[in-house]
Parts: sequence; structure tokens; C-alpha cells
Amino acid sequence: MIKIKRNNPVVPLLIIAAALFFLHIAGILRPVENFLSYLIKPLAGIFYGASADIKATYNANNSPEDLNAQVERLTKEVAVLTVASSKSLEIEEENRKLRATFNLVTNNNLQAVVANVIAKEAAAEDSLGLVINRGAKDGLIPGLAVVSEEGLIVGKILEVKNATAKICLTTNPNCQLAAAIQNSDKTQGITDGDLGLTIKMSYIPQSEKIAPGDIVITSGLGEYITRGLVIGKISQVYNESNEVWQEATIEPLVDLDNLTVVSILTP
Amino acid sequence: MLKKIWQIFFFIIILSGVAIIQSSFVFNLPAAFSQINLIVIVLVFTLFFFGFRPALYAAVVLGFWLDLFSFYFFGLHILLFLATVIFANWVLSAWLTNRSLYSFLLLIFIATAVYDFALALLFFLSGASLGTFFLWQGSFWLGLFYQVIWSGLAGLLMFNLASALTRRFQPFFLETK
Repeated sequence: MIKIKRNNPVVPLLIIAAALFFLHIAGILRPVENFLSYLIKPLAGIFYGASADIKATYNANNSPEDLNAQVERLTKEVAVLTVASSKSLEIEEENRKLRATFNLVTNNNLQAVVANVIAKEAAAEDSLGLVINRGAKDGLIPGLAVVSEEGLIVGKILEVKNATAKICLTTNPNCQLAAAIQNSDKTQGITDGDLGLTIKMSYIPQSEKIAPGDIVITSGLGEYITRGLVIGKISQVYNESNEVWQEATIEPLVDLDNLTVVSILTP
Repeated sequence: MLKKIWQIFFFIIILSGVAIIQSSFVFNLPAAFSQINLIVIVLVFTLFFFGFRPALYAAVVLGFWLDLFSFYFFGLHILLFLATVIFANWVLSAWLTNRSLYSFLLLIFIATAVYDFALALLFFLSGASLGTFFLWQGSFWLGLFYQVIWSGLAGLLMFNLASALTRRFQPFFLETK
């Protein structure tokens, strides 16, 4: 028979863990969770932004680009930035105002909620998710489209909590989107992520003519996702004569690794 | 009493900082660097340096913060960290006879492996991982390899730092007469 010592520290800790679990399930812990989320969101956003900068710098320095070409490009960039820096204060102020009013701007009867990415969730290798600082209290619900600063769709809302939400990127295998190709046939299909690296479009009939370079957009058949949001560009087509469907690999047109600010299109 | 409360408060603040850095900073770093597992390193360090009970409390605090950010079932990280600490403590008390650098590094490697296996198994069982069984995935072993390397380096640094500040550890090398 197993004897548990009176001063065994594991037992009270397991009781505390169980109590936290049940308080969470019962919703009693929610105010505390909301308060703590609210408290740490700004700090988490700063850390996430810093790591995104490091990642961008690291990736730029590790690309097999010719150094001379890099110097030439940077020289041009310095010239452009010198001009831009004189206007930076003005733009910063303008940006602040735009961000504040962006929530109210409607476009095609849609409202956009701007959010900061604050964390990356520890998850299975092929299904990474990002955590944003907006949640149910901001009107977010699962299925809403998430777009980048350029207006390209980068994913959709997967789950929401009161103050935060989890988004899946278009390269995530769990992130399915109803898509259409901008070709003569207006081909339709479904996209989902491929190993967290690229996007795959499936269920394309063999009779449809698709080619690398075609732009893929959302078809509007999804419940909350409007038609016309750009998903990416076809890079490869897989067309086997003995298969019923053909497939295409799509390259996202935005760097999904360095997302720090996103907009969620609400109905 | 007041000193004790301040110590606990400081302990919680430090652990909260570690949890936020892990979920908001480390996970988003470039591929190999994102494998740094600060949580496991801190848990093993707490176990080795402060004892079993503080390590268990650290597991609950760190797990709570990660569960707050996580969209998996609440308590997943608390349970994983508690299990890691309990297993590491068993190894420490049953197999390791001294508190040398080698023991510390071995403990970190074992705790990292236990945590990774448990996490991958839970993801697999819950259906979160869509690929093949994690043991057949190269990415799992590569991730574990990077974690072990990073944890080893961090352990080396932390042990020497702690040795310089305290006499709680045994000498680095065995003395020969």
C-alpha cells in the first residue's frame, strides 16, 4: 500500500492545481485571468515586437544575397530613409490618429479591429498559432478573417477568450479557406496550410486551367470571410492525369513570420 | 514575516517574467533559437538550488501563466511542469549522489526530454498534431536536440554563476591529493 507522508508537498500542490482547474471551468477565475491578461498584454506586445525585429534582422543577414547588391540596395535605402526621417514625426502622429479611428472605418460594410500579436503559442510543430490582444469583448468570434497591414489575408480567428484570441495562419494545416483563382475559369477550391510553410489549394477539377503566377483570393463562400481578399500567388501546379482533382501550391505574398500588427474584419 | 512575503512576491514576479519572455519572446525567435526552453531550465535550477517544494510552486506559477496564454485546456502546462519537476526530483534523489555540474546538466537534459515527450504525446493524443506519430518526425528530434544544446549552455552558465554566489554546490571537479 502506498503511504503518503504528512508533509509531502506534492499533495497540496495537486490540490491547488485541481482547484485552479475547477475555478477556471466554473468561470470564477475569469476576472483574475482578465485582469492579469490586461496587465501583461502591453509587456507581451513589446517582447513580441522585439523578437520579430530580431527575427527579421536574422533572416535578412542569412539570405544568400550578394553582398555588393546588398550594399547598393542599402545605399539607396539610406537616401530614401533620410528623406523619410524628416517626415517621420508627422507620419507618427498621423498613424496614431489613423489607428485610433481605424476601428470605426467601414469598408464594404465591414469593420476592422486592429490588434497586436502578443505571443506565439507552444503547439505541435505543424499547427502554430498566434495570440492577439483582442478578444470576445472586442466583438471577435471564431472564423473572422485576419488581414495584414497590406490588406492581404493572413489567417483567421480560431478561438477566442474574453481579452485574447488565437489566430491560425494561412500556412497552418488547421486553417481552411474557401478560395478562388483569378483566371478565366474563376476556379474555386479550398486552401489550407502545408507543414506551416506554404499554402495548398485542393479540390480543383482537372478541367480547370490554372498556371503558376495566378492570384488566389477568398471566394466569399466562408461564413464571415468576404470575397476578394488576396491569399497568395500560385507557385506550382500538381496535375496528375489519373487523379480526380488537381492541386496547387500557393506562396503567401506577405512574410507571416514577422506579423506584429493585424486587422480582423468583423461583419 | 514581511521579509518572507517580499521573497514570495519577488519569486512570483521573476517567474512571471520568465513565463512572459518564453511565450512572447523566445517562441518567436528564429528557428533554432526558438527552441530555448527557459521554463524547464528555471524549474530544474529551482529544484537543484532551492529544493523540491519551491520547484513545485514554481511549476504552478509558470504553468498558470502559460495556460493563461494557451488555448489548450486550462491546466495542461501546470500538469506538465508538475510532472517534470516530480520526475526530475525522483532522478535527483534516487540516481544522483552529489550536486556537481555534471548532475545539474544531466538533470536538465532529462527534464527537457521528459517535458518534450509529455507535451508531444499530449498533443498527439488530443489530435492537435496532424502529422505522423511524433517519434517518427524529424522535427521533433531536431527540436529536442536544439533544446538540449541550449539548455546545456544555459545550465553551464547558471551553475557557474550560482557557484560563484553560493557554497551550496559541491566543487566543480573532484579534488585529487
